[in-house]
Amino acid sequence: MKLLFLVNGNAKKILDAHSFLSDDFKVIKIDEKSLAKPKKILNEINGKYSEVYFGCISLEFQRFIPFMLIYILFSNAKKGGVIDEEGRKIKFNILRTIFITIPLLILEAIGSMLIVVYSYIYYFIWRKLKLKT
Amino acid sequence: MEKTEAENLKVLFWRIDYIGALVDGGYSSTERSLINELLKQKLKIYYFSGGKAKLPNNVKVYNLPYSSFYKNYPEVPSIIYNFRSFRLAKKILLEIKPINFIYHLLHDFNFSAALIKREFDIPLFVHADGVQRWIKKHWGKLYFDSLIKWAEEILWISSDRIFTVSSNLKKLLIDFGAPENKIIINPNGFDPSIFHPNIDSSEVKEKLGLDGKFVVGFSGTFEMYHGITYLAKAIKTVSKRIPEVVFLFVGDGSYRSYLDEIVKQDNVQKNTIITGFLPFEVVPKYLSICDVLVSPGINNPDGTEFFNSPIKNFEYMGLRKPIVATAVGQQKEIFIDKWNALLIEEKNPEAIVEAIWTLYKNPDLAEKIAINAYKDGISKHTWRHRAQNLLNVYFEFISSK
Repeated sequence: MKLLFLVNGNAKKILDAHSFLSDDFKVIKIDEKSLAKPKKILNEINGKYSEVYFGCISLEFQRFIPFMLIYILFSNAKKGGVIDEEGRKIKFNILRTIFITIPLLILEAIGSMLIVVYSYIYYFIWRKLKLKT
Repeated sequence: MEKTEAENLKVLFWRIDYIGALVDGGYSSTERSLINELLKQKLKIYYFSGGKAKLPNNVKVYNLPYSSFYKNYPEVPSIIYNFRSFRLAKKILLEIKPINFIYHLLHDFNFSAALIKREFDIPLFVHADGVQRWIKKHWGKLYFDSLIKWAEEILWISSDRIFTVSSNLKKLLIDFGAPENKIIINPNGFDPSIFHPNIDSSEVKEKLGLDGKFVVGFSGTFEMYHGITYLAKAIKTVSKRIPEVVFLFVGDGSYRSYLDEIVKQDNVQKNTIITGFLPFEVVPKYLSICDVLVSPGINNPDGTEFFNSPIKNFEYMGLRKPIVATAVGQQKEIFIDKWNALLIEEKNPEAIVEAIWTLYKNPDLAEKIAINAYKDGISKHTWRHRAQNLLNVYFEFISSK
């Protein structure tokens, strides 16, 4: 049995777009907020399924894809990917996840922190000084 | 207002929230409908968006994309987009100016429209269909409270008018620092050429196997404040009283899993159809199948009143269907009990059951309610009324300057 976490979109459309058989899949509807609950997600995926997929409307606009790949990394299946209604797929690959996806996520975290610090200064100045002039 | 005054006005609709791949529902419907009405009055519409947009062909759409790198940590994409959207918008505005006014959706951490107003001196109308700081605190998570607060304060001060959709939301906006004298209430509405009583839905009815069934419908996003779980809890009892009943849920959202769970627990799968998100164009066909339409909205858990202006309410009116609605927020203002809806207590599945039963047993009352709702809708609540209100505000603002 395979698992599809339906993040958004239509499960049938997603499975059809990848020529998957609905009968092979258990579909669980989640929302993006659930991705921040690792215990819940890992409880669902561990040990039960041969492949784990996350489905969405469009990969182009989908946020949090690296976290989905990391969940697959921590699952027993270690096989699957992120797929969309348009037939596009990011196939899970252990090495790529460990050596590219995770380091990029760390880099993004560092960049994000710097931007937040800069924003605090910029927003503060704008509010205090520029609005008065 | 003379029609000729509005002709040839150039209006910029600017949407800065991350809409992802979804182009229907909520504010997408609101702005598309307003734009359609303004186009009918021959205004020239420009549109800036951070994502996909489904708009009429004669709207000039500019995509101001979000960063493709910074998109995996909460709030950071919106913060970065404040700088990015200003930079991109400024570049385009230099080409398309002059613009008569900007109609801009309020969104978290973003005051790029205030920067643009300062740079180009264009009247700025902000559309606030929520207070983002409140929403993130109560319905999500807020990490950078000061940033969102400062961004909203800058927008309140910089905007010329703040459009909102209900009187309860106006109160909330005032509590969060918006100046009362700038706030205009302009609720949502419906398009009577799309939602009307004469829709042929026989094909959909056959496809769903609903011939001979008594259909109770709901449309919208499955969010906490729409009270969808209370409607789901009513299915079991209604199906005992009316064996041929089918509840048709048109939509999707974060409360879908709760809905699925209740349907499974109560073993009412055969009385329930959940369509998932449907393209806007087909929604009227699904709703027109229904014998009763329900709007089960609830007040917020922190005690604030329901402040939305559900588009579904107006669309239900346009379809000339009997409506069951909870007596909360704007629903208390637009619906009168037993006149154009059955108004019921919120968070009460039993009240939903009794209201549906009343309409099932009493077709004359159902018919009277449906006709009155339709008359009200057509005379007061179409998108044409809302667009006209927007233009009236613009001309009043210009003449007061």
